[in-house]
Amino acid sequence: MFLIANKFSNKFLVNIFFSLVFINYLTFFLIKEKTFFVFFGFFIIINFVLILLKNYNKNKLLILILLALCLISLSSPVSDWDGRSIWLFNAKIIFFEDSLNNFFSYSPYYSHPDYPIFLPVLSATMAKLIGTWNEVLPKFSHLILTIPPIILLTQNLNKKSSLFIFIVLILFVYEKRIINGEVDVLLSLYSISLIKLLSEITSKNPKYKNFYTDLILILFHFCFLTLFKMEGLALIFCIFFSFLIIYFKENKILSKKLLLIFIFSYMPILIWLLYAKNTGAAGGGIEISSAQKMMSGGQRFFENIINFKFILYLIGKIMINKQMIISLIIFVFIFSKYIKYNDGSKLIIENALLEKNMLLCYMSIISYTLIMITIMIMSEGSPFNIQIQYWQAMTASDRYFLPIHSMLLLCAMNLIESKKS
Amino acid sequence: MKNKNVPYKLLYYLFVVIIILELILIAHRSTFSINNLFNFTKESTGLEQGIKNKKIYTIISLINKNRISEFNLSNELYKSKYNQAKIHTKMFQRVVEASYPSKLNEKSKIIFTSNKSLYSKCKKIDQEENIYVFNCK
Repeated sequence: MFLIANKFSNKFLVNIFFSLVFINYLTFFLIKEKTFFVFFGFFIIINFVLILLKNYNKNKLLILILLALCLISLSSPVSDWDGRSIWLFNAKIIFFEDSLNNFFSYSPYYSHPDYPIFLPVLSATMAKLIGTWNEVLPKFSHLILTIPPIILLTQNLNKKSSLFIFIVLILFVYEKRIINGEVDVLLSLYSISLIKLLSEITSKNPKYKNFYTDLILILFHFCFLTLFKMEGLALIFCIFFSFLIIYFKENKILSKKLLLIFIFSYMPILIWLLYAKNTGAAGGGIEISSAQKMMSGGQRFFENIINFKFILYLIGKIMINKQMIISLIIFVFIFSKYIKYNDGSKLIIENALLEKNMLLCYMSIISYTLIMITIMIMSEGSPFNIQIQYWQAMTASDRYFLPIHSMLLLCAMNLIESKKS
Repeated sequence: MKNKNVPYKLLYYLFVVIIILELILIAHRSTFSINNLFNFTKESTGLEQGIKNKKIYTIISLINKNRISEFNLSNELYKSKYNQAKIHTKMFQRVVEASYPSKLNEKSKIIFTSNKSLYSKCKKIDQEENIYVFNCK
């Protein structure tokens, strides 16, 4: 197996992995049967093992950490609310129901049955492999999906310190969220992997050997981000439009190609949303989507934004948590090394801070932060929340901002990698 | 060169120790149990640790033991310190999720209760600890 793994490049293996996961989802969505789950599930696991084996020699420490996380994931039940009550519960319904047509027949609204079922389908696939449902194996699907972006992000790291920062991100920022069946870590990893891929593809000659491999990878990143969770729609919007602003002038042909891919990647999620709305409404399940209900069409935004006590509380919750503090300390520490004062107290900013890949990170951070703050202001007090003051801000601020923490640390890694030793 | 290598190696080993400690912490916070690893292919593995509530686990056990397809929960089971709607209570959500494919149906005559005096006219089907199952047909 080790020899087989070494025959292929990482990007090729990752593309095969993404194709299997996506075809598995499409097959279930189109045929509405689960007979293919075992077939695809088997090859997804094989591919996952091949990716780990291929990278073992190059990056022993990271692969050992990932293996340890696999062991912990397979030894612990799903216990946190989002994982248990949304993602794994929807997966359980898919596992037990005969076809997708019955998916909406029994869903208490708190489980958000109109959320994309891309991840629940993969979790149900894992359960189908063993032929029974339990609280351990289905959530392993989330950890499996984290491996490709981790490999893509670390395969070309040349400095040990940037690898250490990445390990800090995995273990100290994501912590148990990487194994507990939540989706926010997946959103974070795929968003920074997408930023890296977009920066890479523009820095090379358009006729380079793996151009189309990279394009397919970007397509899968777009699709997966939209299919993981609703926030993914905002995330790829922020990243891609930041990309267009920075790169369009110099890379018009490539930008147009990517724009087509971007538009195409919205198709699967739009099809799902239409399907959920029609089937749900017909079955009396979902007359109004969870996202609409949470946002209240912007009505609550104006009520909440003039509540300064709430705004201060929200900003406090976003800024003062372990994940944000770790990310900011590392980012500011590395960032400050590139700013100097000369004798006349004149500020000198090194070019590395203003490279295009860095600008893409900064713009994505700013735009996504603004969108997420707006969404959080809108959704505070929604009927989905427990009626406790500032429930949404209290419980979700650190989780919703995981992509921002990840982008801050990606900036730090980019800066370290840009330094010539 | 030697002087530079010594602190780097020291830092590296210190980092590895911190990584191991963090992995132990993650395992602890995820309710790690080696038994789950040996049984991860078996049905309902991890259910009891995942639910973390004895009363709810007893209800699930009774549903599975008696192969009940539809049931209802008595109102006194939905106690909540936050005084929230019953759909937001841990009892409602955990029972709905863990008992599936059995379904909670408010019209069902099979009722789970912790207060047997409320259903003295119904036929008792089963009991475990202080949870009773009644058939009120």
